[in-house]
Amino acid sequence: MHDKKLEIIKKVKENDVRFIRLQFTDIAGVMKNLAVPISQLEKALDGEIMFDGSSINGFADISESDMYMVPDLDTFVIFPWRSANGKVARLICDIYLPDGTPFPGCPRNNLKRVLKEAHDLGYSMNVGPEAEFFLFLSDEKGHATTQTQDDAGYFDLAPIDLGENARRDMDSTLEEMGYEIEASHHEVAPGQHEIDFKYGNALHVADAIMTFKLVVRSIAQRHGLHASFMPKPIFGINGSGMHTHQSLFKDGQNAFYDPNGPDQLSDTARYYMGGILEHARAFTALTNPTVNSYKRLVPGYEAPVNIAWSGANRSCLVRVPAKRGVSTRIEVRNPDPSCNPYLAMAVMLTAGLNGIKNQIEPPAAVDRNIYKMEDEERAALGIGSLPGNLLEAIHELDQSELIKGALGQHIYEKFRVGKLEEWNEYNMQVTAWEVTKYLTKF
Amino acid sequence: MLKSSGYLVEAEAANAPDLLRKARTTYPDLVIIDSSLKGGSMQEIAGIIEGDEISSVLLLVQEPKYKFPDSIAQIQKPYSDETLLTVIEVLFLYKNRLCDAKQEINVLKDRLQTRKEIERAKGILMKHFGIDEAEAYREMQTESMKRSIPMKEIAQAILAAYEH
Repeated sequence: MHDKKLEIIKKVKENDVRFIRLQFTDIAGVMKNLAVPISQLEKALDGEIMFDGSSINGFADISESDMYMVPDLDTFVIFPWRSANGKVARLICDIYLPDGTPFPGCPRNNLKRVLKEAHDLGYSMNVGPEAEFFLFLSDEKGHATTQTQDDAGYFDLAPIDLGENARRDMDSTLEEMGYEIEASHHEVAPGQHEIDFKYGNALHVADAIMTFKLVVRSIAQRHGLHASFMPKPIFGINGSGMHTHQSLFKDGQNAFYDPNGPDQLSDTARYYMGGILEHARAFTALTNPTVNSYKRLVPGYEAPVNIAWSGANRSCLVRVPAKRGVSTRIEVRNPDPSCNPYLAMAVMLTAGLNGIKNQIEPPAAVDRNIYKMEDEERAALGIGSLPGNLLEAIHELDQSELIKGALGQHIYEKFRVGKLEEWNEYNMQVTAWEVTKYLTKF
Repeated sequence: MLKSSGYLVEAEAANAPDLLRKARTTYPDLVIIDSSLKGGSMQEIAGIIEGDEISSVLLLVQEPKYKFPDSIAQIQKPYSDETLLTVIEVLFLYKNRLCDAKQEINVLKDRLQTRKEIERAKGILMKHFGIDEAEAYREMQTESMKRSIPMKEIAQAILAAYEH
């Protein structure tokens, strides 16, 4: 621990780092930074930097304001790009109360708690995320637009894809920071891209997803572009999802793999999947936490709507990729990149573990296109659907003691209040669609 | 005015993000930024263009009040056409010298690395086969000539085989 501290101090000096950003993610999934000058480095490393928790919307009450930021020294990294203020480094922190106990409203602490429950059962969780995002042009004020390069005339200058260039810069920056990229490519919609991370330990991957978003945004800005993780920015084209591959390991082996099981999947894998399918309606509020998330979960755009699983079918909620052995896993396809990865993983893991505990058998695989089925057929096959909007999703969450427990009382309450506010605000808006449709009709 | 002095103006940018996009599309030799640039801070944009080695930057500033960590070239307004042209000429002159120096440095870095690898490979051969330095070098040289592969690759092959 002491060695790590010394190593960090050394690296900071060698690289002429001017600022350390102490980072944590709030309940809404937004990364918060507290920039601390190098003169405070030792204090920061010792977890003595405090901040006012009530200053962050929906995080803590005014009565529980003093909080400590305790850095996870393994997350120390120096951002490779140069800025006008020299180099900047960061540490991801857990939030603690003045009495030394972990703050229950800190999503990272919460994930650690749930991972410990899994650990006590002998399991560790591995996750591989596939995050999609859009790169739009920034306007003359440096603000985001929904315009992509295709209609902006840059090809007149040279046949270069600005987004492609930016994405390669992102890949090399992430790799320089120590992350392993498994794949990086253009996605279906114009201006849409995808970067897949190598499978890893759930907590590291949750940290990686938050870091990834920060890096993508920063690099995009350096390219005169704006990166958006909004689930459905433009009607009529594909939205951005974050398919989440996951598996459990036990005693160093993949607990989902059984060479003698049906389709070489173990009972554990089937029950985990059974748990996911059983509790999907309850946890959707966390995996798809914005009003806009539900605009993506509609038929026809490769996003799941129905609660079913299959090996190849992309209209299902859960897909089981073909690889076996150490790479055996299930792919949960509904999460989108607006989610808080710490909360999303906590609820999915809890659902899966519940499936294992109660030996929940999943229904039969559905290998046909569900979008094209009639309602009676879906009902006959027992195929349910995900909540249709954020309000419905919150009501489902309210009914599930299991998923509420996965969040803990504090996070559940704060999350709920925040989301209902969001829903009410949205509901009150008068949209352009309504005006066009009704203004002259009535 | 610039064109008539023999320079090719690749593009003009309307604002900061547009500037970044065009610079990264055309990779010009020089980017001139006026202090009236909208949509971003001149320092930040200059820092990005020089930091990511897209181009050299020349700033046209109101007053020389900005301090830049890596000293970016600037002219104070108002300025005459002659001043601008002279500064651009000088910038290109030093840019070319800098490019040449950088290239030489890279060549030297390469050579140093190769020499280190050859030394290590020689050491391995000496240890494993009980031969002296001259003989180890001769062995490597023979293989290199026989297979028409550079010494550097022979050394790397030896390191790969014995060090892992």
